[in-house]
Amino acid sequence: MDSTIRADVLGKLLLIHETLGVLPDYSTIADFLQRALGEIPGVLHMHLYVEGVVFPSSQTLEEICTESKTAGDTSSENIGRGGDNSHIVTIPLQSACQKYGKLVLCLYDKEAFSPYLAFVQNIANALVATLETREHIRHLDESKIGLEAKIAESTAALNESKESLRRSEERLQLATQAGGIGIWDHDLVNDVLIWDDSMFALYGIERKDFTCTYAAWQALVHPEDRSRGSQEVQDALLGIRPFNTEFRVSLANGDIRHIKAKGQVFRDGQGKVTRIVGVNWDITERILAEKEHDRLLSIIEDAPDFIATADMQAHLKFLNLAGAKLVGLPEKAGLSGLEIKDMHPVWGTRKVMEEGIPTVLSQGYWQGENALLNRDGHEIPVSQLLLVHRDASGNPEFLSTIMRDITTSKQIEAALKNLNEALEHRVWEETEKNRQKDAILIQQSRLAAMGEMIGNIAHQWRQPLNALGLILANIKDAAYYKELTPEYLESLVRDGERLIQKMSTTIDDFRNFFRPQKRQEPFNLGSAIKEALSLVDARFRNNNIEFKLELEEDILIVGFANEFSQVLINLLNNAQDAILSRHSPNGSVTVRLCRDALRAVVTVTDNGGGIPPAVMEKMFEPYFSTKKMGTGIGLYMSKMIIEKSMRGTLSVRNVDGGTEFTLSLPSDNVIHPEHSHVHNSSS
Amino acid sequence: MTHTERFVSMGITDEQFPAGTHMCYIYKDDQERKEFIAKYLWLGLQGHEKVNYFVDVISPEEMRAQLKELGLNLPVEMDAHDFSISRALEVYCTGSKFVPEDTLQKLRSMYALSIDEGYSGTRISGEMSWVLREGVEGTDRLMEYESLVNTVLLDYPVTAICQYDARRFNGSTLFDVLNVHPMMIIRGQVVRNPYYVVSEKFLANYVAPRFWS
Repeated sequence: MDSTIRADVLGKLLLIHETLGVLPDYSTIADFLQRALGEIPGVLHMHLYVEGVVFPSSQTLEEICTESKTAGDTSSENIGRGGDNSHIVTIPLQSACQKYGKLVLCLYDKEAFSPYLAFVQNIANALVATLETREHIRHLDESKIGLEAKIAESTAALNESKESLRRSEERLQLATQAGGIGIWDHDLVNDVLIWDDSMFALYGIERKDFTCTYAAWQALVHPEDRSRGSQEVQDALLGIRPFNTEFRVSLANGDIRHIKAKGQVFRDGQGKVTRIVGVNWDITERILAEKEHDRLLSIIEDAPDFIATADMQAHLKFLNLAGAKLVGLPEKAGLSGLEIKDMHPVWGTRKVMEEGIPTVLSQGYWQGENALLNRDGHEIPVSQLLLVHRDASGNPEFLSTIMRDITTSKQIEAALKNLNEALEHRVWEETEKNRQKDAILIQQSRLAAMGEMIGNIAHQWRQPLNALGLILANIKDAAYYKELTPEYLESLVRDGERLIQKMSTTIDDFRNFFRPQKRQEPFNLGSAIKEALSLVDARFRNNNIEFKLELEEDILIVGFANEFSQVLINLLNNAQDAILSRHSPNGSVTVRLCRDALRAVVTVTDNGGGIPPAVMEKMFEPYFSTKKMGTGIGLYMSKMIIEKSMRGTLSVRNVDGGTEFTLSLPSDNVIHPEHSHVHNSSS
Repeated sequence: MTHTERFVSMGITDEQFPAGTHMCYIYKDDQERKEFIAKYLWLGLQGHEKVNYFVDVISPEEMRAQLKELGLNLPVEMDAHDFSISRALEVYCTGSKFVPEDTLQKLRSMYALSIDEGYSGTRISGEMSWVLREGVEGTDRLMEYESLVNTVLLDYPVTAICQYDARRFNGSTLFDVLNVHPMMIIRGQVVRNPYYVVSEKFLANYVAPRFWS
């Protein structure tokens, strides 16, 4: 090769140099150089030795290169022979400050190669330049990676800090908003008071309505608290005490809000106060709760009852004034050491412990009578309510009790008991009197009935007695005229005996009729009416009083037949007396029997002129009578028999020219004839 | 085929090169490659050339999108007639076999058609990594093909850039690439290749290594 490097060689060098720049690794570079330098005469093959490795790989060359102490230190060196007996020449790859390795050429013709050594050295220089550039790029890349990592780390840390700050601000905002806490910042130098949104919410005003000055805040404070609040601000500014106060603000709707305020004073380098920063929060609920608590405590303290609480070990935790007074404790005495047992007599403590507390634990409350024990030893009867209070988990937390002094009520109870006993005695006495009165009434009634019976018997006997008188006159006349034959006498005697027998029967009829019945029996009302009439018809006939009967047949009822007849006779007698009292020549009495909606109704109507209204009201009262010789018990007894014994009604009214009594007997007394044996009163 | 010599812009430098220039582009920076290729293609369109791009690494659609991102705005009509992106494997091979003669014939036809269609010439660029794909037969004739291209381009002056990724081809192959391309683009420079060997000489001595297996 000419000593002067030809243009095509330069071109090749340039191309190799540029190409090396894009080849990615030592292996590719070695392959490329192998081909590029393969054209050089005398070169058998070429290798690249870098970073302790030979490319393309060759164990022999790697050992040679590693062992060669001076390798790389010379520009070119024949360091031995390869396995193929070639001459090995190495060209160091080094820059001014860095050794990269060697270019290893295995020559088969050293002489032929020698003119190209300079060219190869240029190739080596180009390779060094490439390796150097790569090294720089690698360093740059590493630096870049390191820098990027640091930037990323710093950015991440910055972002984390920003995020942390943002979250912190969010948390603060959330906390202040959730807690209703407002933050304020007063620049004292310029008198600028800055509020956050929560402050405006607390004071119930819009931001646009606030002039951001100390005076603006003062104006919002309740007038009664304004002076104190301002003084406390001044005290804080003067360092007398920290700003920690409470005040009220009046809201636009008239409500009062209680505000708690705290602040921190800041000073400049000269110690001058420049700023005060703080918080406000709403304590209205707490203040109201405290007031409510005080109110409740006041109610408890003022209550006349014993009110106390105790823990589950029976130690007293609270006792109101009335309680302390009841058990004789001084007002200001502490409760230390006092237990439930100290409040009661022994039996009362046992009642609480053995009955009250077990019941409370199972049912939630216990109520009963007990006693408190005063320090002076006397027992106070109380009505006790015991309650258990549980925590959020449902475990018993403490007991409470309310005990009311029932001394007075016990005394009243005793007095009432005595009174009741006295009353019971009086009632018994009155009852007894009534019973006796009733007995008298009954007796009088009986006597009256007896009188009536005797009167009726007398009327019944009038005709047979007259007949007996005629028989006796006939006997006398027959004896006078010597016509009294034994047969005739016998005939007259038989007539007389028949009359006497009839009179005797009459007595029996009356006696049976007025005999009280023991039990109710079914009987035919129509028959009973007829039998009763038969007892009085003699008197009615004698007095020219007409009887009219309008009886519906076969009405049966269950009741006292004799008593019913007694009532009916009583009504008939009253009708007769009324007619006779008017001296009316056309006296008449109508008795009707009919069914009315299954009730049996009997009416007795006379034309005796009726009853004055004033008398009508008192007709059924006992001992009331308009008759000169009346007992006043007939109608009373009649009403009692019909309404109490037979559960019917007896009423009276005036009708045209007279009076009408109505007996109405209830449906359940009325029976169908085929369902019962009918009792016909004996006649 | 007769033609008058025509000079074209390649895009890297202001220098103009004769139509039918056969260049290799050995690269390791994808972004730099795309920017250069976009400019190369755009200049072809500007010169009223029929422009064909043979893509291998990505799909034609992705390549089109990337070219658009790089500012190569392709009007619809120009897109359809003046510019096409095809899969390299389909252009260089017949089925799954690479037959240099067939590909060279396609190259001739491509040029002739463009002239018939009234274009000033044809400009192509291919991503050559298709030869590294598994299962493709005949890839050992790549350098033979590349060398013969120089002969074909004498009569069918297609301006061509063959793209070789230095990260995927070995050094020996890359040196062979230098032997068969009279011009090369390397690290942003267009250089006349001192290692270029004319076709007859190259083919007389060339023994194809099976470097791609």
